[in-house]
Amino acid sequence: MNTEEKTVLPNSIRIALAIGTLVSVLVAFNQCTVDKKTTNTKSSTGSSSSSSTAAPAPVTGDSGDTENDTELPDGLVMPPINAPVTENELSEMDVGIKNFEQIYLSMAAATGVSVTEAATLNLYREIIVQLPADNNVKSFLPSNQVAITKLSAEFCEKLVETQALRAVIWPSINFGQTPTQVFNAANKKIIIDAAMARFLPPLDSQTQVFTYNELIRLFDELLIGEDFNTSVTTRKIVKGMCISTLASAYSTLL
Amino acid sequence: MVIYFLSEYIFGGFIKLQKILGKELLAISLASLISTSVLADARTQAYRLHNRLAGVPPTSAVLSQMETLIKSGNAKQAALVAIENPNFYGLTLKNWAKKKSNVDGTSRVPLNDYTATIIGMVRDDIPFDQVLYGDHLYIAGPNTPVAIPAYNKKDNNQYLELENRFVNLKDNLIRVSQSATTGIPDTAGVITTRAAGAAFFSAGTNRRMTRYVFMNYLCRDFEAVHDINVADFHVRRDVERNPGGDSRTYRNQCVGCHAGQDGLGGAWAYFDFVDNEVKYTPGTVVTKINKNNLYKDGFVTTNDEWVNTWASGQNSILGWPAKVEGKGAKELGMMLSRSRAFAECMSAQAFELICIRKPKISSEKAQVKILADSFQAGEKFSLKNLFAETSTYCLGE
Repeated sequence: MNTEEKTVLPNSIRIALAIGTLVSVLVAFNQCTVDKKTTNTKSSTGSSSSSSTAAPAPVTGDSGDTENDTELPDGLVMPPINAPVTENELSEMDVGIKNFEQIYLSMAAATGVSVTEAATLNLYREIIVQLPADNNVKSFLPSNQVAITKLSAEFCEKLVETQALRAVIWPSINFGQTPTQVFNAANKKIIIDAAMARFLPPLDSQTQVFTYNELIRLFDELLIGEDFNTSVTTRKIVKGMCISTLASAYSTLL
Repeated sequence: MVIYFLSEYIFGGFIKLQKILGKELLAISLASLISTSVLADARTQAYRLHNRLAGVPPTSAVLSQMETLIKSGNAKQAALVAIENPNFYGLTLKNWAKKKSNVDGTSRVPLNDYTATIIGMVRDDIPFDQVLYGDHLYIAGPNTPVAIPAYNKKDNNQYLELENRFVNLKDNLIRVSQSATTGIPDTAGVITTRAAGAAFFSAGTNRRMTRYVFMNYLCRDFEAVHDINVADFHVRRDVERNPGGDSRTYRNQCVGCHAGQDGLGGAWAYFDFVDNEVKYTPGTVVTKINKNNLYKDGFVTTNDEWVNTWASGQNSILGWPAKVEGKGAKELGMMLSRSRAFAECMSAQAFELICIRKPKISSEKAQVKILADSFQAGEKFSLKNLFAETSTYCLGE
């Protein structure tokens, strides 16, 4: 009997505990609500909104709608690139990515490989969902780049292995020769220059030099450990040059 | 060889893969991103213009031709050169139109009569307002380089084959009378094509058609035209007047969309999509329109008359033409496409297609209105010209 009396709390304490718990819940709930309101405004600075004491950033643009669109769902903060206010800011986002079909037809146009060529067409249809769905560069993912590289590898395979096609781009290169015979400095330059001219857009001189230097370094590095006594290596290295230019962002950006 | 090469360069050889996909390719990619933001010369502008209009890089001859035109201050003519590339029709325009032909707004759908009709209309420079009321249908011509199935209003095989066989759409589409081909007298451009029927007339209550025409051609979903001050005498019986037991919900929310859209919805009273084809039953309202009697005093559709109750009030800003009531799909399509909202929507879409983003700052939004003025001028509604004029705005500096 005494034991039961000791385990039962007095009514006053029980009421105080209940009130305390209720107040705690209400305070916690209220804080969450206030916190959300302070972060539910588009930021023009792109800074984190994790701090509940931060003042709401001014609204400076819309999120892609041509009409008024000043609010985002709770917790989302628009990065600054989506809120341009000047022409300069606009120029930074003035790029797009080619969609799946544009990439396929562009590669066909650049390489000369027919759009109905079985090998490339079959691969294209196999990986079509992995290629970019639309022109929005912000939705571009690493998996898209892998698919683009796979497709370009197939196009370059067909291009370099087909005498009539490769002769259009590299008419002076003898693909039947070994690397020892064909890869002198002059021919390396011809191969890279032709690939850049064919697969890349017009470049300013500075970018052209930069790109050429990157490709010539890649050229030499790809040769390391390869068999220099077979023409298979010659074609393989040229395919590498072809892929690295055809699959680059230069070719796939709009 | 291919498998070996792919595995070596894509999946297998770590060192070389890193070199290709890693440092070098990344460097090239980043360099291109940076270079696109700096000032562009005429040749770069020409390349970009062609890339965006045709979706593919130009040949060196075309690039030089366009470069010369841009240098001489004739960027619009340069754009028209790019527009002559078959890929403008078979790729850029096709993907643009495809998104309008389905509920998901995706271009990952097969070519269809809706898309082909838009391609043909632009190619032939038919005033584009007719896209919502013209008696046009584009089908495969008789001289396609490969055998193509005949047009059939019950399937999409012809268009599927045209696309799968990479047939040049610019050269191989011909215009026919839609009413004569499908047997539907009240044709309304792409609205009454099979693809539109499959997407927007199937099942439901045909309200989907009104909504998607607004979204695709006036650039407004119903939330954007929501107006609870409009008289609700056209709201049908299948709309509850006290949803959840509270009539205020109807008054403050439901009526904002239904008062307008149900007034317009009469235009589709005789249309349905059954047995894989668009069915038109003149004089007989399709059953689904008046189904679900949740409020017996609601509007009962008895014919294909429609009225635009959004013509007055806050939505008068859409710039409606004088005739805001009529009968049937064709007359409704004409009213919609003769509105100012249609012209501005088309110019905004052209801007987004060519500039790869929506108009953002005030000067761009003003430019869209100027382009809309030009599009509407003289009722020419030349979409081809609109694309060309828009292109010059996004040339880059």
